[in-house]
This record gives sequence, structure tokens and C-alpha cells, in this order.
Amino acid sequence: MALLDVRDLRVSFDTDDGTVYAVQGMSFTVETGKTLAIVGESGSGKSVSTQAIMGLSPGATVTGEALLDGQDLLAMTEDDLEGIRGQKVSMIFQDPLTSLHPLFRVGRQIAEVLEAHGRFKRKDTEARAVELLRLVGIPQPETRVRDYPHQFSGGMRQRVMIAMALALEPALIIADEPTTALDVTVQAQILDLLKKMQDEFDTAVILITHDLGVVADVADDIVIMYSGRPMERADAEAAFTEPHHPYTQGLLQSIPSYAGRAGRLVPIKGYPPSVMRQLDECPFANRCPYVHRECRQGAPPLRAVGHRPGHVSACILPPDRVGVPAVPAEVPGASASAGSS
Amino acid sequence: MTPPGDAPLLDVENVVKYFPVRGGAVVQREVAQVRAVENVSFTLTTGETLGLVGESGCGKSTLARLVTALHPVTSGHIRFKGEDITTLSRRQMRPLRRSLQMVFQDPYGSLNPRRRVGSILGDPFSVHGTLSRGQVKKEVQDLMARVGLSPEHFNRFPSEFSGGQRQRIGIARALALHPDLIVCDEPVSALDVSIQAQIINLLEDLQDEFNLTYIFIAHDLSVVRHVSDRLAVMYLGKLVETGPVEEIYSRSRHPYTASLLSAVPVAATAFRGARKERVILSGDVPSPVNPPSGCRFHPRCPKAQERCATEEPLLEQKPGDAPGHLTACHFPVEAGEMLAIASRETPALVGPPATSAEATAP
Repeated sequence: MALLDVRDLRVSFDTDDGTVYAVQGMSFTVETGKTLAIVGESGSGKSVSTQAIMGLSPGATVTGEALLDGQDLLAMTEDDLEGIRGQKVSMIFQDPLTSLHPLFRVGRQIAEVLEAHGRFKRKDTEARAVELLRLVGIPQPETRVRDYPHQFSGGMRQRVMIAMALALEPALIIADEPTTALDVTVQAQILDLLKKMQDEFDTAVILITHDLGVVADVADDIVIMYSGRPMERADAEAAFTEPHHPYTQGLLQSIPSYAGRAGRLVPIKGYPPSVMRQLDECPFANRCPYVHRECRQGAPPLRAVGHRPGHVSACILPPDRVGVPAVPAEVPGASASAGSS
Repeated sequence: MTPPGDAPLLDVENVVKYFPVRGGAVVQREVAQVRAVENVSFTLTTGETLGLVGESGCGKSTLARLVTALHPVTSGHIRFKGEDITTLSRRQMRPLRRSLQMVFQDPYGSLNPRRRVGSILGDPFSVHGTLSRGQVKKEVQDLMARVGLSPEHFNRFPSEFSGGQRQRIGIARALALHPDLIVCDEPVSALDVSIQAQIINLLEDLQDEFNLTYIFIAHDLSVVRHVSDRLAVMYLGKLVETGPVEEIYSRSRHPYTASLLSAVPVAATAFRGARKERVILSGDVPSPVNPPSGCRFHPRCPKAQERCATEEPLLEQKPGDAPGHLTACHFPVEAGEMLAIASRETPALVGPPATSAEATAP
């Protein structure tokens, strides 16, 4: 059984300008010890999905199911969720400076996590905090434990966040763009650390990112999100070598390293649709080079494609039509006409 | 407009920029200096793209602002079309400014939210030109069409555009007065990958059309590789390696460049069985207020020896390298050499690189 099984998650927000349909039918599963990457561009609903699951989206209307070890997180009371957060599921955010309290020593902040769930006595917590800092590779943890967050660099702060996330050895860590604010050399350190911690504690990780390079590096499975919906789900290798959905293919073709030095980039023309209305067509239809009349008649459901188990795509194209098209799917220069919003 | 003979369009020579750090309870005294750019030299010829890379705080944005004369230099010379812009007065500088333009990272922060696009884009003409209002409007609409915006959106506010469209506005503004050199400071970092590709293609088209010269600053090394002819790698205010882009990507000589390149997760190669050994640097970039002695990279360098701490290496061509490929290192990386993955501060954390059997494409 999957550790976390999310089914038909829908999240909407009522705003002064109307309802924002941030997530419109998201489903995925996470297995123990594995890394699931949720990939999408800004506004695709990737962060909102996980925040809603953890009860961290106040004011949102959330429907669907999120079964953690068979218990539905979305049906839980706030008190029950308190017991889950930090203990069974913990989160790491993009910006470690704003996620840490500037006026408390980092040791105290880690200790707070330990005490909150009553698993440690106060006198034991400092030793455990030092141990955690050592585990995540902070030099001289005995003295650093009494430092304030501003005394740490960005990479070191992210290590502190990871230490806090690991404090109670949760079964699942949700890492929301954990390395986006960091330089590549520090990013490499942090990804390496996450991987190592994951192996040591057999933790499952949901990695939310827009960086396909990071995904290729660490993910076991990948969900590609677009406009609040899953477009494609596959194991990492299939997603990169045999993508089915034209959006996934377009994303890969947009990466400079794919085109190489000589090749011209193949951008996806146009811009994503507004999240202010619920689409009853494929959300990618307006940007898709292969759009059919059928694409306008209701959003296609996920269905099995390719030849690997678990590979699904929300596209009506023939299921065996996988791979990154060698010929650009778009006429070069068409990007210049993408001016309308 | 092209400089006479083979003279470079831009010649940067031993440029130094220090920023004062002030402190003191009553009287603000200069207590230290941030040594942001130290002794940087390079040249650029017309139509070329120089990629400038390095970690945050390495001085690449400061260098960009020195080149566009937005900051005065502490010492050194910057010659643009043969004229030393470091000695010019504000008034003398003015006619040159139209040839030296900049595109900024944040298309949200660099456009005035209360002004209409037409008026933002009309500014360069009214500041530098002598066109009538009607002519300005026509120029602006041509410009908007050229960068892929619809000219009917002349009266819209920046907030009515998406991030990618705003960056097109920023590019149009830089392009307005037919500059020779455009410094692009992280022009696509704030954009999603599919939009990023649109902007990169646009910049390349414009370069071909107007014979533009770019300095392209980005932390995304795959983007830099795609757009650049030459690469300059900075570390703590100094150039550590420079040369033709493919040369540096295929055989980087400075251990810093090598580890920087190896740290980039590359989507394209990961599943083609080409996942490379990763050099994980220990620690963070030291403070530019008090940079390390000798080679500034030595405390983090996997190849550092005693000499590196005492003697500063010169930026020079190493034996066997192509002309123009310069490296500032006493012990450059040899072809095929594997840098130690050792990270000395945190030995317990160094596992085998994240590769696995299934990482090989069928």
C-alpha cells in the first residue's frame, strides 16, 4: 500500500475577483522510501496541492481524499493534524530565512519540534539538537546550536531546516523548492544530503520543483502538473525518455541542454490559461501543436500510455506515441507572435 | 558604428571596485571594504556574447554595472568603442549611454507599475531623441511588434502582462535606441522554462538582426552555454577562467569551474547514461570583505596545496589550451582527471554520487 494516496484533490479559493481554481483533480501516490517529484510552472498548483493536504491553506475549499497510511488527512480535525505535522509528515520550504524564527537560537527551534510532540524531555532535547545538526553536516554543532539563524549562510540554514524536518524521523518529507534559492554548488550539497538522509531513514519525499535538472537527478517518479491538473505521471526515466503528453515534450524541448549549443530552442507558444475559471477542455489545448477538435470536448482523463507500468497521460494521442519529437513541433519564429494574453 | 580595425567594442582593463562598509555609533566611519570586483580584464568584439557566471556574491552584477557606467570604478579602465568611459563626466557620458543598455532580472520590479507601456517605452526617445510625439508612438509600436508584443497593448499597464511579456517590454526598452552592447543581468531567471525559451530565442534573433553584443549573466549554466560564444567564470570578485564556451564546457581547467559545471543537474544527460561524477564543494563562498590569501578559492579547492594559500595565480593560458582560454590556477585540472569528491569539512556526508543502474537509457 502506498504511504500517501491522494485522490481527486480539488482546491479553490474565493477572492474578491472571483474563485481561483488552483487544483482541479490532482491524484498521486507516494511509496515509502521513494521520491516523487511534482513538476510544474508557476501557478500550476503544485505547492497548493501539498499545502492543502497538510491543512495549511486557510480559507481554501478542499475536496478529495489524501490517505496517509489509510487515514484521510482531509477529514481530520485540526488537533489530529497537529499530531501528524512534524511527526509523520514534515515540510521544508524554499526560503529558509523566513521559515526560521529570527529571534530564537536554532537549537531552541529544533528542540521545540522535539518537545511539541512530547517524545523528548526538555533536558534531552539539546543533546538531540546537536546530534541532528551534526547529522546534516553543520561543523562544530556544539557551538552552532546556540547561534541565531542570521549567523548561518543560506545553505547552512537549509541544513538546519532539514535537521528540523528530520527531528522526529517522519515517514514523509514534503520539500517545496528546497534548493531554488541556493547556488548550484550549494544545491548539490543539499540534494546530496537529502538523498543520504532519505536512504538512512527510509523516508518518502515529495519534491516540488520547476527545475527539471533537479528532478532528473533525484526523483523516482514524476508528476507533471499544468493549470491545476496532472498531465502525465511516470517513473523518472520514462518521463525524460518517453514522454507522452505534448506539454511534457514541450517542457523538455525548452531546456537549453536538450537543444545543445547549435540547436534552436523550441519554446511552447503562448501562455498558461487563467485559473479563474474551470476549463471543460484540455487546459493545454490552446498551446498544443497537435490540438484536435476532441481536445475541446472535456478535459481528457489520465490513461495508460507507453510501455512501462504506471505511466499515464491526460492526452488523447495514441498511447504508444511516446518520446521527444526529433523534429520541432513548432515553426521557428512562431514565438514572436505569442503576444496576446 | 563599428570600431575601427580590430579594436574591441569593449575593453575592460584591471577594473577594481570596492564598496565601503561603514560603522560607528555617532560618526559613520569606513571600517572595511567589500572587495566586489578585483583586477578584472576582458575584451568583447562586436556581435559576440560573453557569458558571465559565478555564485551569488561573486561580483558579476557589480561588474555589469561598472560596464554600463552605473557605478564608478575604484580603479582601472573601461574602454567602449575606444573611449575610456571611466574618465568621462556625466554630461560626456550621456550620448554613450544609448549604446550601452541593460536588461534586468526582475520584469516586475524594473517597470514602473503606474505608467503605461507606451509611455515606459517612449522614455528612451524623449530622453535621448528629438522625435515628435507621433513619431515616438510609431517607433514604440514598431518596437513592441519586434519583440512579440501586440502594438494594440500600447495603453496597458505592466500589471496587465505576464512575466514573459514584461521581460519582452524590458528588452524593447533596452533596444529602443539601437544600442551596441546590452548587458543582460539574469534576464530569464524569473521565468518559467517554457517562457524562458521564448525569451532566449528572441534575444538571439535580435542579436542577428541588429548585430548586438551581449554580456549575459545567468546562474543557469545550461542557458549560458546555449547563448554564449565565450565564457567568463568569476569567483569572489576575480576572473578564474575565461575562454570559448565549448572549450570550457568540454575541458575546464580551473577546479572551481569544473565543480561548478559538475554541480548542475542536467535533465538531458541524466538518462542517456552520461551522468557524470559530481564534485561537491564543501562550505560556502567566503566573505568578500576579507577574502582568503593567495588563490581565493583555495579553502574550498579539492586540489589546493600550500602554494595556493600564499601565491596568487595569474590568469594565463596554460600549456595545451586553445588561444584565449585563460585560467588562474597553479594546478589546473588535467584532461580526464577526476577531482576528489572529498569535502573536507563534512566527510561523513560524502556518499557515492547519486547514480544508479537504471540511469542508463535503453
